[in-house]
Amino acid sequence: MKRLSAWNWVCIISLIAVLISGFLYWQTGKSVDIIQDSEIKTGLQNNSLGLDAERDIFFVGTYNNKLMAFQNKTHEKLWELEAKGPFCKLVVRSEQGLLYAGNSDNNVYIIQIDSGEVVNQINVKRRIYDIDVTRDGEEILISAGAAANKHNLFLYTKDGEGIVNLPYKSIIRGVSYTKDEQEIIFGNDRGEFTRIDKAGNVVGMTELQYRIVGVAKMGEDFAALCNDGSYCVLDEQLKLLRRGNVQSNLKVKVASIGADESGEYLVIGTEEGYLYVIDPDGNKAVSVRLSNAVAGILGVDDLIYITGRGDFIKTISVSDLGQMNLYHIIHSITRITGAVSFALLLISLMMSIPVVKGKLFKMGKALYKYRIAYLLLIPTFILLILFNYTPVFLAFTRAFTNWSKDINTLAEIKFVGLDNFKTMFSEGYFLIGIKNLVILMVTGFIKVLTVPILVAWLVYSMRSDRQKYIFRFLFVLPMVVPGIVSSLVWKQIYDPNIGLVNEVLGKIGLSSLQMTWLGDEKTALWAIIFMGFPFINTLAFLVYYGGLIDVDSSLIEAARVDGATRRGIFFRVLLPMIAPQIKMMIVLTFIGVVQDYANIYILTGGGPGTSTYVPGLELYYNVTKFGRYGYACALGLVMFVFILIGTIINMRIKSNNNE
Amino acid sequence: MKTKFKRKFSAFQLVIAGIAILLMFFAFVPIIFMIILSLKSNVQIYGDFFSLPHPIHWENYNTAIGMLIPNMINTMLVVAIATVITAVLSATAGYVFARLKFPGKNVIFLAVLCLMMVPGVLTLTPQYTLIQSYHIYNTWWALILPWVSGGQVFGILLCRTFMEGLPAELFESAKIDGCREVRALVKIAVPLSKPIIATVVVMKMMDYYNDFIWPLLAIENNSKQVITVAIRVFQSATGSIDIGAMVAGFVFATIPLFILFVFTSRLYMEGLTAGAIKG
Repeated sequence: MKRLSAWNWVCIISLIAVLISGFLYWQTGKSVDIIQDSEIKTGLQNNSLGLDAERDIFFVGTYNNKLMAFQNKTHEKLWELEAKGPFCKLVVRSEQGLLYAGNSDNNVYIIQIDSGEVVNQINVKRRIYDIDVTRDGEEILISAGAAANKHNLFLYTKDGEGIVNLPYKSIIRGVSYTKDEQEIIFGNDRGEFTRIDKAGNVVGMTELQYRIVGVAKMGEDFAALCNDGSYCVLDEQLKLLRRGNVQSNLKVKVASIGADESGEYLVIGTEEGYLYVIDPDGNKAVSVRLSNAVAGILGVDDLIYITGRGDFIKTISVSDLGQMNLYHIIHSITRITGAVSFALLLISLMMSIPVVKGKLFKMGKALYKYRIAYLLLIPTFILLILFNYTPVFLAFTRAFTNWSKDINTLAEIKFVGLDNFKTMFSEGYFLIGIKNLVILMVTGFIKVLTVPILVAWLVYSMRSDRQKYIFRFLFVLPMVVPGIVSSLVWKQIYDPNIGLVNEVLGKIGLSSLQMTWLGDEKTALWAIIFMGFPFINTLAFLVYYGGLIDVDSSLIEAARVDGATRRGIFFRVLLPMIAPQIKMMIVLTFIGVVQDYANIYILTGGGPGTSTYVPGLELYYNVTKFGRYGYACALGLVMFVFILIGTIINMRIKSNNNE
Repeated sequence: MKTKFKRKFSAFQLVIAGIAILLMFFAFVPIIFMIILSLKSNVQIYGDFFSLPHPIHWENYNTAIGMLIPNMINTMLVVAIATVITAVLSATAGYVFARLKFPGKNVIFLAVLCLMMVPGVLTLTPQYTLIQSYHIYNTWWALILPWVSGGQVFGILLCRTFMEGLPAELFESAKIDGCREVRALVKIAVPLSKPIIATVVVMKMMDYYNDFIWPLLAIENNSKQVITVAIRVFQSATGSIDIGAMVAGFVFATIPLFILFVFTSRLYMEGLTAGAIKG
């Protein structure tokens, strides 16, 4: 009785704990709240931002070729300016009262902030990627390029006089002055984060391995964003301070990077609309998805402004971010306390009911008594759960969703019913694949039912054991050639210029029959089928051979006494006796052909055209090339069902035969 | 004496030997073709395709091995680690299912058995994304762990069947001696099950070594890549420039399996037939 009340106490306490942690978890989880909407509206697609803190004027460069100035408090539009391309970068110099606007129409516009009047216009005759301006507003650093291997860094005076022109062979998407403004730091498409002096001499360089898509000043340091989804923070000496990943499983196509003014928080936005704020410890303080691509990030004082391809300007307060850190800690703690107290609640609830309690004790006792068996199975099952059961579960559930490379969080993945399966029939590739698969299947059956049986019978019929052993060994030996090597060798055999097939044809005077075997839609599939001639499938050979030597010799003797010929014995006695082995090989061939696409991937890649396409290959391409995971799962599911049905039918036939 | 001679060299025996040799010749054509090409220079190949290599160009092998040796070392390490873990887990779980009694044994074993029905195409996509969320993408663990996880299923089945066949008295006497289950596994079950464990080792080594699609997906950097993918990269890089070196690379990639086969051909053949039984 006493124990029962103790369990009741545990029950009540854990219930309270569950409620508190749940509430805190819910409260601290709302990271979206930290992002405020600014009321400044351009009515266009925004691209870049600028702020004159002294005058309190906010500038928005748009993708639709317009530049607008707003009174920051009243959101009242002051002036507007139109150019011929999107405004990609805005730099404000309050003391001089000037705004420097880099535009993709090859011009840098220098604008009087108060009047909105263009003071000067510098045309560099190349598309501008990024600009920077010295603090005194006298010198402008421009990164501009005409093509992937024609890129320049320019230095111009405010009056439009060119000082320096440095040609480069790789696109420079981010450029910045060092603190003393005597040197320049930039990152290029080759992943080189470089520091040069104004004459173009390289002072230092750090290889970041991946294409650098953006560079931002971060207080005293610099941050670079790479196209593998990683960011690097480097000091002025180009020493790598820290490195991290924002999206390990996504390739960042077009992305922007920025920081708050003090350089504490790093802000990264991607074309898919993902926005991340990274705190000084490298943790994601904020991770949200906006409805549009992120293009411009600006940090002034306590605020970080974010805009992108849409009519929105969002702000994040740095002091709020400080709190976020605390929130995050509470969030993760409450998750654990919540789970623990919930488990406690469940246990205490069950313990409060005498019948369940008894059963639980029994189960616990059994688990403890046989603990060694369960303990020994734990490693096996950890692996199976992580790498087998979870994938199977995901494959079955995600086949009915729009899961893809870009849509990969639980919040975004949507149930789409049978759409993926309908796509298979409407898109056509799957049907072409099925047609080829049927041909491969039929020929595969023929191959496995002829030569291996013949060879097994030949070896079986040999008189001396020594001879049998040698032949068996030699017939199995070619199997040591790895599948991939075998495919590559056959690719060489079919080579149109210097391949064995064409050379032999030339030698015996049949040059007219020479072809580009794998490059011709008519022959490619048949070339793949013919690969592996003379089709001595090692596995099939060994299985048949094993079946033959198990045949009771008295049966054969009896047949011989009855006057059966060798042919008769083979067809009437031996073949029926190895029927189970034959059935098994048919099933294995069926499963193998449906699944095997590595050969085709190597020999033709599915081409030319779609002449050698198979469903397995379509699955592979949808995972790797197209990133349509949901569709790929659906394909896998269909193939699984295929295999299952094929196997069941075969087993049915087998059992019918036995009756 | 006379009849014996006649039987040994009967026409029938000659005919089947003849057909067998002919078929064998064709089966070996690609291998012979590969070895001859690997010893010729481009000039010799284009000059007289069918000539034997003269002089022999061993330097093809220098080129190929020089390029491929890091990947070969990777392969050896990864395959060795994966095979050892597979063997340990297979023997352990096989022993548990064969020898120990515990509640839920049949259900748990059935759960393992079910995985035999799951084809690779079904799990490929989720596995590819899962290794990314487990943060092992582009590391050797992305090869080893999924290999072991899938490979142990087959190993467990073989080991269980074999260990069930071991005489029960051996284990009973061990219990009287106060030998705990783990010691019974290490001291009795494993030494007696050496043949089947060796079969699992050889079969899995072959499977892991031959795998192409999974390393292609799971490993991004060529410096970490295994030989099967590396050989394909090497083929596209040297293809038309230096056919001899390219084919020498093919031979190089075949050598480890050839050595394995020479020493374990019996296990190899038994393993294949045993492997077939799973279907």
